[in-house]
Amino acid sequence: MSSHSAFAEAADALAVSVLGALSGTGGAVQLARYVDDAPDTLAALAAVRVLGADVFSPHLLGGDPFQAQDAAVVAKAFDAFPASGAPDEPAVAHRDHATAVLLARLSGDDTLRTVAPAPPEDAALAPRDDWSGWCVLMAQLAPLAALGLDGPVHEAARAGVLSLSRGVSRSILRRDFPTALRLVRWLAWLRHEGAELPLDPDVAAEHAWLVGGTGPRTALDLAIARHFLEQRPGTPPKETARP
Amino acid sequence: MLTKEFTLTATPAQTTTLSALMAEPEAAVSDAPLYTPEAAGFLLALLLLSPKEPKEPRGK
Repeated sequence: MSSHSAFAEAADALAVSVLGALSGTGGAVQLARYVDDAPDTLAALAAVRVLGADVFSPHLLGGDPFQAQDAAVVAKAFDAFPASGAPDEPAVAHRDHATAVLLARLSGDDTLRTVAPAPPEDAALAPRDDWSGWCVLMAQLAPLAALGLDGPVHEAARAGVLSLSRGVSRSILRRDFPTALRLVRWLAWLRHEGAELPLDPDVAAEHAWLVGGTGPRTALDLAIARHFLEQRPGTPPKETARP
Repeated sequence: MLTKEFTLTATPAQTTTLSALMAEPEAAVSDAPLYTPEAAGFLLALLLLSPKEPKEPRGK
């Protein structure tokens, strides 16, 4: 089996586990156990790097406690696959840094932040006339649409509401539903922040999922987007909203 | 527990694979219907090659 398919399979398996923890149908994500039980340890560590900040979503959104051995596994994944410093891979560098920031915060160990240093200022992040190309970059940066993160990528998302909405429509028309759902996740994050949107992310998410949602990683993007849409600030939780 | 003695380090090729998985481009080819002008000639050929319409029987 090629390393690409092995890594992709491992990332899908980990995404299923994170989804279970997020929806409450499975137990908490135990990264240490996942990596120990995996037949291919390197692929399991690659999966931790691929999902990146998303492995923390049950802890950020659901309040699950974060174990010390899980923090060690994420650090170990950065040992096996050192963080990318290549300037031609801005998406990878920003994702790595976001993972390191959340790892340091959840574990309470600020030295872990150094496993992936902050990428330099990047002009490619600002919304531009070529909105379709910019949306591809933002779709790759979708794991940064998470609670507790803020930085230049988020500033770019706030400035590019119209471009992101156009990107969702374009991806749906191209029938590229994984990209559409990644961009919907940004719109959901923006709505959670209280931004006014020209496109209803609820409807777009439902359509993209019904027509072409496949794969656990895409399902994870959708689950996190729905979490943002259901918990808008200023609206009471569903349980207390009922009379 | 992750206390295996050996240290795992990825090869450069594996690191490249990981980067490709993390920064997936949008789908290169969508399966949406596309306009293909060449198909017109094919349809015309089918029309010309099709058998003639049956005629009404005469002189019953």
